[in-house]
Amino acid sequence: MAGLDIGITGIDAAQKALATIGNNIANAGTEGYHRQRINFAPRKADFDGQISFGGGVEVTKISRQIDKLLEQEILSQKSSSSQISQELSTLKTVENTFSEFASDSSLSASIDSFFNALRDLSVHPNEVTWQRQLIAAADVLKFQFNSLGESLTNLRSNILQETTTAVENINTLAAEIAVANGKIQDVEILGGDANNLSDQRDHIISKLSDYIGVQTQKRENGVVDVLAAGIPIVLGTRTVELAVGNPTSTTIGLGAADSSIISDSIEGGRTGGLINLYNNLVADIQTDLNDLAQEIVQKVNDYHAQGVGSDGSFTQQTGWIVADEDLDELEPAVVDGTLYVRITNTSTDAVERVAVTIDADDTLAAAATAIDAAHTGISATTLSGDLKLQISANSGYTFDFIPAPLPEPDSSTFASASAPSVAVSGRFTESSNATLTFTVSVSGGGSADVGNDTISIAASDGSSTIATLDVGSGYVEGTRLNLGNGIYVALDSGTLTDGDTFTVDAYADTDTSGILAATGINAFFTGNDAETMDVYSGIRNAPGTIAFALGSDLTDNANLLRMADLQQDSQSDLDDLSIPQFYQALVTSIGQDVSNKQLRQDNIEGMLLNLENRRSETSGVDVNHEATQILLYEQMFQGMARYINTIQKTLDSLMTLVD
Amino acid sequence: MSGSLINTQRTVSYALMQNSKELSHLQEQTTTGRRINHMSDAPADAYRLLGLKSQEAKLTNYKENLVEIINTFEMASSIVQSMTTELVETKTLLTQVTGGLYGANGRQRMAESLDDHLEQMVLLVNSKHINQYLFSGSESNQVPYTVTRNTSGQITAVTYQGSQNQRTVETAPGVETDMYWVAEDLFSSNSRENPIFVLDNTGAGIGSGTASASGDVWLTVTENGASYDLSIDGGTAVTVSDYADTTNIPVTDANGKTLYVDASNITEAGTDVISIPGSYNAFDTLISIRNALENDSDLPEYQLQEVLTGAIDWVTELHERLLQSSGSIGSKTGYMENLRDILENMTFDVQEEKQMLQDADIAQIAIDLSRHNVLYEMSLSVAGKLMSMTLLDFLR
Repeated sequence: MAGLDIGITGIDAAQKALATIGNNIANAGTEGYHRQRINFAPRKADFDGQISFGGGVEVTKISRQIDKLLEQEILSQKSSSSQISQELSTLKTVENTFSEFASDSSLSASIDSFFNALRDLSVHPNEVTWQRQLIAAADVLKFQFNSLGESLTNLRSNILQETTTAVENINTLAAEIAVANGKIQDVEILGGDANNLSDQRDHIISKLSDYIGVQTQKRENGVVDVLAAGIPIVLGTRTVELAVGNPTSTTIGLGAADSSIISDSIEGGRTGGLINLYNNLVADIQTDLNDLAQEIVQKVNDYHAQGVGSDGSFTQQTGWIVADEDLDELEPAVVDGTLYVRITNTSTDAVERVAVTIDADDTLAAAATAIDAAHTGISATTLSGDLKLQISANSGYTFDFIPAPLPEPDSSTFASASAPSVAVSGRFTESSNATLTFTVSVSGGGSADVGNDTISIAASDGSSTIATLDVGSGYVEGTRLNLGNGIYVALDSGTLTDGDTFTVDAYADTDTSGILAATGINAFFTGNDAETMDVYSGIRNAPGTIAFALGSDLTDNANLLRMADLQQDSQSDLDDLSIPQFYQALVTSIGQDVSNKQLRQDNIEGMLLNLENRRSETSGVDVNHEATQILLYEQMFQGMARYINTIQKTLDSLMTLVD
Repeated sequence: MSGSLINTQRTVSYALMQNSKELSHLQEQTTTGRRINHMSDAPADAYRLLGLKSQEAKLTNYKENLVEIINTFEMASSIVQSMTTELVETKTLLTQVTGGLYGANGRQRMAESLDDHLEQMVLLVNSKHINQYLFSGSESNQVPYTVTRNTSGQITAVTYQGSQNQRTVETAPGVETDMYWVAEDLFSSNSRENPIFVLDNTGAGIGSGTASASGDVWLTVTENGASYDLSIDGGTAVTVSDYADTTNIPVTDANGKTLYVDASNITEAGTDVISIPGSYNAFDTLISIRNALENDSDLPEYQLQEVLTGAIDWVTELHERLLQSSGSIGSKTGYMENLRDILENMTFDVQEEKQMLQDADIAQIAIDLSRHNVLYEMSLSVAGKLMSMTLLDFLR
């Protein structure tokens, strides 16, 4: 009975349509669900001679309403959003750690306070109250550096831990996708529609995109392969596990667990964000902070090492334990140069200076031997068991490294036995060491007494005449004459002869090798990065050792002034910025990063919202729309039921005729 | 109504999140009163703000140090003025003595009075300000002058033992000033002229060499056979005949200071008093005058009067030197006060710029708060309406 068959197909189709609508409404709130549509087709026709009759309706397919390109784009944007979100939240943590505007005890304030304390002390260099104030300011500075340094180290350690956890989740999700692939394949291979299973699997892929950027490739029977970071982690029903590795000693990356190839170019998802944070964003901040701490330690120590404090010249100086016995491997590295040691005989007050050649290729022990051999007044050694340089004054001597010229010329050639004594004083203000040569000229040749006749002395720095001193008539013996470069000379009574000469070694730097700062001799700070920076214990225990003076009378504050000037001096190691400027640029770059990431996150979130809304239009369940469909299929069902009833009645009538 | 439930929920959540974020940000600005609470709030402005904060801290540091420097200068000025007063009183005493009113006993009393002035001046010059000696140059923890006394307790020498260098301090960006004074620069004349004779008893003259002796020099000429011995101020004697050129003989005092003497016209032994104008120092001069008042050299009355009359010029010169020093300190104080005012103005400008960058616009915040609050509530309200109304309600 064709009529009944048609009715049955209609009833069946209507019921299946209502079931599909029910499934849609039931999943109206299900994340990842795609609306399903039932597809009908006219059933094959029956032929009666030349005339064909319709065979009713049949359900050909229940399909998901899905825009695959849109889905790919959403996956990609979700992945980017997760990466930005991870980077943003971590950078905000870093920004809060620096807390530049949250309190007055920020690192920038501590840097300012330290340099201000140096200036304060320069007004009262020998007063212990101000010396202690400087130590307190330095302690606060080191505390801030230590605290920030430790925070960043802990943060990177946590990032590494989180990355490991994220990779474990990636592997779990990949396994779930593979299982879902298998189930889908089982259904579809038999010609079924695995719509709900596909939605479940796609939802897992969507969750995976939160962790890492993914690409999918569709295969037959509804199976999908998944690639993450260029590695195929799901191939049908098989998976490849990912693992965290180290492409370099300071970076992390991902690779297949059974492979030695590790990539640090991971894009997308939280994992991409975490790896970027570990390798670049936080690492760069940490590097900059360490560079800043190291610059402060090295520059202050460079200057401090060459000065002396109210405790005067040294009887012993012990450096810190160095990391390597080779001088050129130290931090900062020692270079070929000369160390000038000023030695005072405490019995006679006679002052000498010895030059020790430092070879950067030598070991610390060899340098100690060279210093030890330089003068009988000092000895030097490396302490047994430790790589530590110790310089000691022998009995009756003290030593220091101040650049003040010796009180008398370093060499002289006077023709007269009653030549005047020459007193040298001051502090050389030029930037590099020089030997000043003085040549006497007596008018008409011959000899003349200081303060008489016409006598001039030409002072030369080796390349040009820097001053001509008039010591003839009108010159009062003992009067200091200014050379214009910080050095003064004064002549006592005596006879000068035309052509007499004397030389003065003028020092801008008494350690051109950098061995003092590298080994911690007469240091102010210790450490070589933010975490290890500290105030040298000797300074803390004896504030009188704060080296404020560079002049021979040990009472000036010149060393403090040049240390304080570091605040505004541009430093080549800090991109030609001053110390405060470099720090300001560092924290501003963090703020800029946060601001940029925030902007990108807002953009991506807005874009994602639009994409997801578009997906909802295509794939979402609109309850009202489903309601109208219910009306349609309800009517269809009722119509078919009436049709069957009519057929039934027709048959009844026929049966009556037969009876 | 159109669109899926999830669509509605997502849009409303997004709107709520955005408004909530804005409200939280505005609330932070309200509670702190600051527009910038994190570097990321406005990175470029925050960078400027950090620079301004650093500049303000530095300027404040300079100002605090300047206050101390100015106080030190004022203290130094006050001491120099007191010493000037002591010199004025000394000059008054000398004027009275040279007026012929006083005999030997009277001059002795004057000498005792002068001793008191000398003690007073030493006391003044060795003053401290906040544990630092004002006139020792960079050796500010070292007393500037030590005194040597004779058995009677009288001061016979006042010796400077401070530094020849002043202490330089930075008072403003790129500006340095000397803080503690070198007493010898303040209390000694520094415009040395050719020596002149106050008492000329021997026929000796001044040589052509430049003298390093200073103040008043007492030249003693004694016969030595056919020649003469010359000595100044207790120094080693030299014999004229030992020199080929007798017109320029260097004679050195006990401290190694030299006076060049022309001995070619010496006619007799005796004592000459030579003044080197422009080279006096306060303490040696007072000691000299006191000794003259006590007539240690047993000069005849008329010669004593000549020496004491000459001494008025010495005191006058020193008085002028102290006035110059006082003026110099005063002018430096004035400069420092101007500098302090400049730093005050700079600090004010920095603070103003800082406030402009940092302070929150409360009125704007209030408006924004209200706007986002309304948007927040509207989002909730619209969501309620959209979620509650459905065609299912109308299906019977």
